[in-house]
Amino acid sequence: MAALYITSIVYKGRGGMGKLDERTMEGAFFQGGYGMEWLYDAGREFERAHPGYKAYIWGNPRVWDQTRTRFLAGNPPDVFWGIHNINIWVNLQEGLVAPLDSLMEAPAYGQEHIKFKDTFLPGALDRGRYEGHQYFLPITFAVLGLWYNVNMFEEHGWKPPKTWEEFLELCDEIKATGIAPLVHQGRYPSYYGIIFRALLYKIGGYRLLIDLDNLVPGAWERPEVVRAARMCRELVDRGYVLEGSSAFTHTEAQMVWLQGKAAMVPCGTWLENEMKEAIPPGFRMRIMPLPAVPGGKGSAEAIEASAGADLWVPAQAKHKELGMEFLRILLSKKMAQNFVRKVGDLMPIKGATEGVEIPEALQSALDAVKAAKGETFYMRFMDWYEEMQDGVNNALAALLYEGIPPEEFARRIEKIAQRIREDPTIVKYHRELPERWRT
Amino acid sequence: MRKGQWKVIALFIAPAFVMYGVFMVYPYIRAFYIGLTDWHGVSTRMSFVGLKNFSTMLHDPYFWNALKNTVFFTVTNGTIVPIIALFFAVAMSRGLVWGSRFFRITYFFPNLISVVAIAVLWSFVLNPDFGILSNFLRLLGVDNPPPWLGSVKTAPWCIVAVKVWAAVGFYMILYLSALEGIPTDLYDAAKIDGASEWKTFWHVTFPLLGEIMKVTVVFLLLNGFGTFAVVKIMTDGGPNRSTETLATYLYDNAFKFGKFGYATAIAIALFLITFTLALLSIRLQRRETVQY
Repeated sequence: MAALYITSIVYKGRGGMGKLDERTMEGAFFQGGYGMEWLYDAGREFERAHPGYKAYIWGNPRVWDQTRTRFLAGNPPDVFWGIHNINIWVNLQEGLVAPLDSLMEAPAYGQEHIKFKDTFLPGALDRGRYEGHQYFLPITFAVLGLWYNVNMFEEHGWKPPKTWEEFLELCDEIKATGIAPLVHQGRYPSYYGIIFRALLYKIGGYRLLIDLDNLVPGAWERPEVVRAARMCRELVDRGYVLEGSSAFTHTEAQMVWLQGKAAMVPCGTWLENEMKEAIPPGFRMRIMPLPAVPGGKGSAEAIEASAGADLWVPAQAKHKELGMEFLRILLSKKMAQNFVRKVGDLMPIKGATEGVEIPEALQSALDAVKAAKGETFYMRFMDWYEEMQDGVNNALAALLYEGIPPEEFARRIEKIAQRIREDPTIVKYHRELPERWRT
Repeated sequence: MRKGQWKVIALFIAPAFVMYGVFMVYPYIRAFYIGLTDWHGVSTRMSFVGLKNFSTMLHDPYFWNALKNTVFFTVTNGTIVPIIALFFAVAMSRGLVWGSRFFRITYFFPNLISVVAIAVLWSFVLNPDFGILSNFLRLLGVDNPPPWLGSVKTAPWCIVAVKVWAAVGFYMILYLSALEGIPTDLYDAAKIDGASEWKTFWHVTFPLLGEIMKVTVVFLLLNGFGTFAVVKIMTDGGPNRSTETLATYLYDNAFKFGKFGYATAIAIALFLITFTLALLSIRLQRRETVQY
């Protein structure tokens, strides 16, 4: 009987892997708002480029939970992208991630005269690098800010504000019409974090963000942080945030915004794709940066933008070279253009938008980045330290829904930062001020 | 038992026994070891760290917060559910209401739905924008209904309400079957003595439910300390950890933060607390069983 169970388990395992042999590359991916088509396309391109080889591509929203045991057993797929529950930095420290140095030096697919690493937008590779090696590659170039309902704005003659004063005035005007100026994805306070991080930058400039990311002692308690928290709170106190926002999931809040019950919502460039099925005909959306603040160091145009750390090749994969080859093809100019066409979002690859019709939402994000004249920023504490991300989210919830004083908000976060600093078991990360800011 | 029959019995029991051993007993024993390591749950590497996880736990404010919330859910659930369930059961068995069959089925209904579906359903009901609860209140003229799951004041009570709603039917059926075991002549005697319905309940019904009460207290303890799915789906522990329970906190530690060792230590603590309380409650309730 037991033998029967065991053989059935073995055969079940074989059945699942039946498609895999020496000439098959297996890629496992997060299946979400982007769908799978762009990955299948890259798989077909891979098979065309390498006759005799096969690309076995599959996806699932919980792909990491599904493959975790395979990683434990030392039998992972050849290329991987997970979102849910995954902590890639823990994986890196545990030796699960292969360095991609040879891939970075390889010629670009379809543009053999240049190197693969030189095809990315400036700064796009930063997040995936650790101690001089590239471990993760980005899928998208995300721009984050406030999205507004273009028709509503045009109808009332509202304009994206440049200063904090103008922003408050605009919110007053919107509120006077009975529409809520803002709605946010309260169940996940990280979305309000888009407003918070932008204010941090506009107040304290890039040096502040770097100190906060590096968990410099006392940094999270600085007056700039307290001020950013106070401004976050001000929007709630003035009644600009739709009642009940604190209970909304991301899609519910975005739905409410699409229905015209609120004028603005904080989100990233994935918004249009995520809500694809729910966007009413004729609805137009554009992104704007948070305004400049009096006496602040950041300009009105500065906007949060970054490429992620998403794709990686497992160190124990059977065919690491094939996994890397797939990445070379997936992140080629040709496939990046296909991505814009199929998904309507942007890969951080030079020339990705050439000859492709860009939807208005994405175009507005590209315009915003252009207008920022290189003044784009991002923070990293969230992906380095899960507890820090968790702590900031909970502190934001306490600030916005319970009304704790901004000083207390800053104190709570500094306390978590201190705990991480003092815990020798947590691997510490460090970033330098990007070069163009070092003046 | 005939000679040699035990071989046949062993043969039939063995597969189940092996499965139970491999999938239940071994992991439980193994857990005690993992709780003493720094395992991340992503590779096979783990180092022994002794009781470090447990000392971390004692100094972890979020652990205590989760424990506090878990106790809150257990106590509220554990008092509200038996009271309501017993009330319904008595009302039905004593024929105090008309159409008791209908109510019996209706109240039991939540037990036929999976907890996940219940939680998703109630999230919709409690949505401040399109939820029927808020819209019903607006209809009644309430201007600003609370954001239910979005406020630290209301969210824990919403969880309690859903847990109670989901559990009452089951306990009602338990009490009903116990009530049906009480001989009717006792009630007849009470009636002849001129006892009111209330007096009859306190002096006849309630004392004779002792056995089933013991069982339900243990059930409710286990149910309360194991609070997970409803919280995970409806609030994910938020807002600001106001509904985080030990079970959701250990899940986050294991699967989100990659701290399997620490999460296992919390699981062991949870196990010890539940086990001790269950033993205690059985012991405290140990008394002469009423014979009838």
